[in-house]
Amino acid sequence: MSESVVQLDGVCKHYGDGTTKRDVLKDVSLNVEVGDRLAVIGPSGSGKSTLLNVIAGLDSVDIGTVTRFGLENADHSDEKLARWRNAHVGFIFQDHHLLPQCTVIENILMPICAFASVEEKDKQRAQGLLEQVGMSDRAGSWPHQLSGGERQRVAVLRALILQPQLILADEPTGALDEENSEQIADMLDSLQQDTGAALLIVTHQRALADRMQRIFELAQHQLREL
Amino acid sequence: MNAWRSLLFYWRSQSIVLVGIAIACAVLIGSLAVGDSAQQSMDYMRAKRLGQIDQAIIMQGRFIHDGFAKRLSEKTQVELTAVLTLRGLVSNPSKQIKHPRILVHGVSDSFWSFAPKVNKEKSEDGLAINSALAKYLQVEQGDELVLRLEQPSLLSRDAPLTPDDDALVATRLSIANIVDDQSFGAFQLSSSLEGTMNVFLPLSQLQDLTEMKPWVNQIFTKEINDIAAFERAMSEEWRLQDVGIDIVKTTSGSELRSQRIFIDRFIGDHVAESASGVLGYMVNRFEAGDRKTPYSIIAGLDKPLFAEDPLQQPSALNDNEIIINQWLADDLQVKAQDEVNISYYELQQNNDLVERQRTFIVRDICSIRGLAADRSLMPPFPGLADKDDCREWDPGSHVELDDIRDKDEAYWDAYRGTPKAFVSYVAAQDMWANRFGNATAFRSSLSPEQLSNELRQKLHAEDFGIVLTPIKELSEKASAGGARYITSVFVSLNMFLVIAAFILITLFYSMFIEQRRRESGVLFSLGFTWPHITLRLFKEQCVLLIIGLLFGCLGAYVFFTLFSNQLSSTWSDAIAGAQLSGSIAPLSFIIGSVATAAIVLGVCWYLLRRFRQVASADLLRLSSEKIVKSPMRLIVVAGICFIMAIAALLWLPLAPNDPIRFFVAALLILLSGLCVLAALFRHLDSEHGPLNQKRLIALNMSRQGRRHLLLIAMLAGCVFLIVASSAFKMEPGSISYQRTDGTGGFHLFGEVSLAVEKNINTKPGQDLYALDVESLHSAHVVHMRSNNDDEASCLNLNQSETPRLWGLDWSYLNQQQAFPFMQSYACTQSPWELLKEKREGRIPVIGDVNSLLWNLGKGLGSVLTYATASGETYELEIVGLLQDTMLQGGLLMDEQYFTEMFPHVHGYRFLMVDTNGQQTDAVAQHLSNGLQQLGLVLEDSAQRLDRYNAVRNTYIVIFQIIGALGVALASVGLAAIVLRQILERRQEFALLRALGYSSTSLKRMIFLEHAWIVVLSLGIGIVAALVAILPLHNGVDSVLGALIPLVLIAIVALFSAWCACQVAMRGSLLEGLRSE
Repeated sequence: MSESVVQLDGVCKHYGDGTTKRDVLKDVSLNVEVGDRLAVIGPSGSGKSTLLNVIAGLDSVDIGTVTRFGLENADHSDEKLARWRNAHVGFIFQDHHLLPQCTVIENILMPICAFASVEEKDKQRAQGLLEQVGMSDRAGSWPHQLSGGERQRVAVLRALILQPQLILADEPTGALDEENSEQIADMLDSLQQDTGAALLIVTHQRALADRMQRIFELAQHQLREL
Repeated sequence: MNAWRSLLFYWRSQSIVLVGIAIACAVLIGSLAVGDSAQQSMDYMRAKRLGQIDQAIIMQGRFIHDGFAKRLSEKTQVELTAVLTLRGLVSNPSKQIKHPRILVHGVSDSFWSFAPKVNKEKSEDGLAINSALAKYLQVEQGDELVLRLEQPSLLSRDAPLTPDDDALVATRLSIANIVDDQSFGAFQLSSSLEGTMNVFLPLSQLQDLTEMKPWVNQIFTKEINDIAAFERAMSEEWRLQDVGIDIVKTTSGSELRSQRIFIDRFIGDHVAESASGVLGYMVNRFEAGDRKTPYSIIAGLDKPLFAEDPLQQPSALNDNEIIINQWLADDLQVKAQDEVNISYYELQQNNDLVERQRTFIVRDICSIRGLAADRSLMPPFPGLADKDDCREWDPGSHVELDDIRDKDEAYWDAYRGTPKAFVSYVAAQDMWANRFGNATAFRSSLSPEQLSNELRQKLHAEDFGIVLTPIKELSEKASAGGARYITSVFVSLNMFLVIAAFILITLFYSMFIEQRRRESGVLFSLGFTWPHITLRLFKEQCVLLIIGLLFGCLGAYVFFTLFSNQLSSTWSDAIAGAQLSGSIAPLSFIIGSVATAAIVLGVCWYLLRRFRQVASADLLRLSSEKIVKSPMRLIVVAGICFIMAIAALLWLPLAPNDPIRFFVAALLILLSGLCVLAALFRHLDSEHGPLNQKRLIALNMSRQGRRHLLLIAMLAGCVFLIVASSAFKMEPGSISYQRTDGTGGFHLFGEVSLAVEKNINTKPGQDLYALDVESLHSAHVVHMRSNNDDEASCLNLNQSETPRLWGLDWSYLNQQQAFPFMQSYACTQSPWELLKEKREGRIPVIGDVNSLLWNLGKGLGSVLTYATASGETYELEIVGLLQDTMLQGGLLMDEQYFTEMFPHVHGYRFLMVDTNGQQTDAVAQHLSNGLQQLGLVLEDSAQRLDRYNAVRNTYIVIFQIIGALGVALASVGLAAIVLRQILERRQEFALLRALGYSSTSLKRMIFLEHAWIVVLSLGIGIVAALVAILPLHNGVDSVLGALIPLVLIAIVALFSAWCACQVAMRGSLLEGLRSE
């Protein structure tokens, strides 16, 4: 039996205050194991991003439990969650969110700075990742000097630099054209297979979802496997 | 409608701009209002002081017949009043309260019709005093007062052969009325804010009391419709008798005499063609061998006079020849061709009489008849001519009564002042001419009428000081100047706050435009033109501006109320104790609002223009894309600023310790520091260094370099202001008595109400005032003459164009190298020596920089023009500037030039006493006792200087408070910027959170970014301030003294940044990552 990375049991989440309550997640249960390739699809506003944030510990749940591999259930302090996220989760967003004040390689190395200093081996690894995606000559470039597809590739490498066990991708190809979307999807496939990390993609694009092992739909705030 | 909606939508960011506009507007209007209020206050005081007086004839040491005023009034139908004003002392004998400095005005009934509010009920004749004096003396109507007045005389008390013993008149009178300010109790010609203690007596009573009938020294008029016609009437109506010139009939024609004894040179010049001069004098003794004849009259006669009496003398005398009468020849046992030596007193500039000798050859011996028996050749010297007995003589010089023999007494009984000898007119003038004149009579063969007519044609009223002075206009000018000064001071003081507000406006407005980039790009892509888009934003700003100005106007009331309350109480030194009143003038609202609007719209337009220059394609991209610029240009600018700062320190053409030199250098250093920082930001931005959190902080700081630089400039400016200004604060009691300090090494500074006539360093002076030589043996007194002009220091808000003049013998100051000079023309010699020689006909003067520069706007080389009583105009050139001395408020000049300008202003009114630090209290006590009758008020020099420093200290306190307000504004800016940046960077922070950064570490990073701003601001501000205070010996102490404010600045700024972090990081950052 594979090892679990994160497990959600009966998770409910709503927004708003006491008077205006808006449900986002209702009784959601999900078990993500190492090596899993999962896709979550659903209409806008269905709570897909919230699901990713809950998994990553960026958002809390109202009801239910989230069990994260390597983190004691009782220890959900901001600091501990941040350390867990840093060590175990790689996040990819629809927008690249590269820091304009940092070069390409600095953006990739950014997660390391959260709790440590960048060492030579980190740089070599980042350089190696850039080579893997054919961007070895762009290490010193600034984000604004890159194309949209290149920026998103750098964002993917940033998510993988610390070799996470779980890659959370929120519409990773949503802002790209078809060709670039295809390239990013291939890259994600390839890197996921290389690292053996679990991959959970939230997407509107059925083609990208179809690349995954299992597909879930989030509708009416509830998650069901298709 | 769109503008409103947009403003409401962006209310958070716009509210900061609104606050900035309101503050700038409120501070500008409030500062102008302080000037308005000062103007209203001074106008009110002027109305009380001058009542309905419009023009004045002020005789400046001379007197004029009161009949002139009557004739002039009848001729012109202008309401006039003649006044005799004298200085005096007053005491309330029942309570032993004295006031040493009062003015006693002899006034007629018409004077009271000049009051601000005319009281129709005729008040009781007799002594009246103003309410201020009544309050001071604690007296009521009916109480008795003792008045001591200076005894005026047409003959100046400085003139030789003037008696000393009748200088004062004392009387005891009951108070008939107490006059309030509205009824003219506050009457005062000087524009001092201090107020005068006035005593009023009926004119005839004062004239009788002082034996000055029918003389007055001031004539006032109400408003004159036709000034030219009035002046014509003045020149037609004046008579020689009005100015004390008498022409009497003699057997051979007429004789011109002056009641001032000595006849002004200009009269002699005009009369020379038709009359012959006589100069009579008293010599101390004639000597021939061992024989002496004491105290005799001698006359110098013009050539035609000798020719007039051919029996006596067929030809004129040579200048070394003398004719003596038979009595003297017998007494000295001399004959023709023998030598006779005469001893006489020569008048010095400082009123000392120095005995001189001159030897003459006896040309002839005459009998006492004809011209040689003419008793009228002796001038009517008071103290001589009116005495029956030689032993009663009091000629104002030392007379050894024991030397007077019985035969001398017998001669006096028989011949009175008949001269015992005659010399040539030229020789007589060489010996006895003085600044009061060079003749004692002129004799003419013309009839009195002919001589009088001839003189009237040649002389003019203005020659005798009969000129109209537009007293009301001058006073209005002085108060307007004062109000302008106050306005400029407070606008300058508050300018820092205004600049800080504008920086805030610029900062936030640029951020606001940045915020609207994407929207504008979309509009552009939808077909809007740039003029449309910018006009839309501009309209929004106009609406915001109007709201801001409305709030600003309301804020101005609050600002002005707070400021004026402070200025009327704690900060009253800053406005010389004037009570501010009134309200804000509409013009100030207009000026303040228009100035604010102009600057805000200018900033807005500039930013929008820059905004337009960015391509539309760029607008549609994400903001904050990186544009790497080279730091080299900034480094070059920083270097240039630094070199200029060094150059300013070394070569700026100012005095070595001129604070302006150091302030210029400090500002350049401040600029250089900011350029270095800007360059550093650019360098960090482009550097590929090791990545860690520290570098991330540095990168984030440099990313918003322009905003951060503006903030640093604001905070550094505050720090600079607080440190530098605190260094220039002079703590009371910190003043020393060193020669190079503001006291000049003098321990005491004194002012007398009635002039000191004799030099009290000398025995005659000490004898006159019963001073003990022993008690004063270690002291030296520097005497200063003074005209009646106003003090032009920070203690008088009114700005007189002609400040008070002090004439002094500066040799002691030169010898002691007293007082610090900021700047002078002196190259190698002592700056005091510059007072000696006129410069291209201009009289050299020295003054304190605080009075000249700040009160009068004059500097080294400036020229001031003075008109004197004789109608002459003198140009005075400033040749030296003293720095922070007790001699503020006036100009120092050589005594010789002072007496040239004001020959009729007698005595010394100011004294500087150098006690050499020994027994200062004893010297002060002794002088106070001795000169009590003159109303001496002695003040510790350090205390006097403290009074001036108190004004500066108050300004510094105000400046520091404004600095603190600036800090508060900068802190608001800092907090708002932190908030704003966090909001702008929420995506970035959300990403970092997603990458595993904890919220604590994110807060720490953001806080450290802004803490560096505070640290860099403090650093740059302190370094610049240290340069500014280089010339001060207490520079380091000042920085230490400013430590607490600096720490407070740091705490306030850091706390506001921390609060902003807390507020901004509250809630979910994750919204920033959503793209749906």
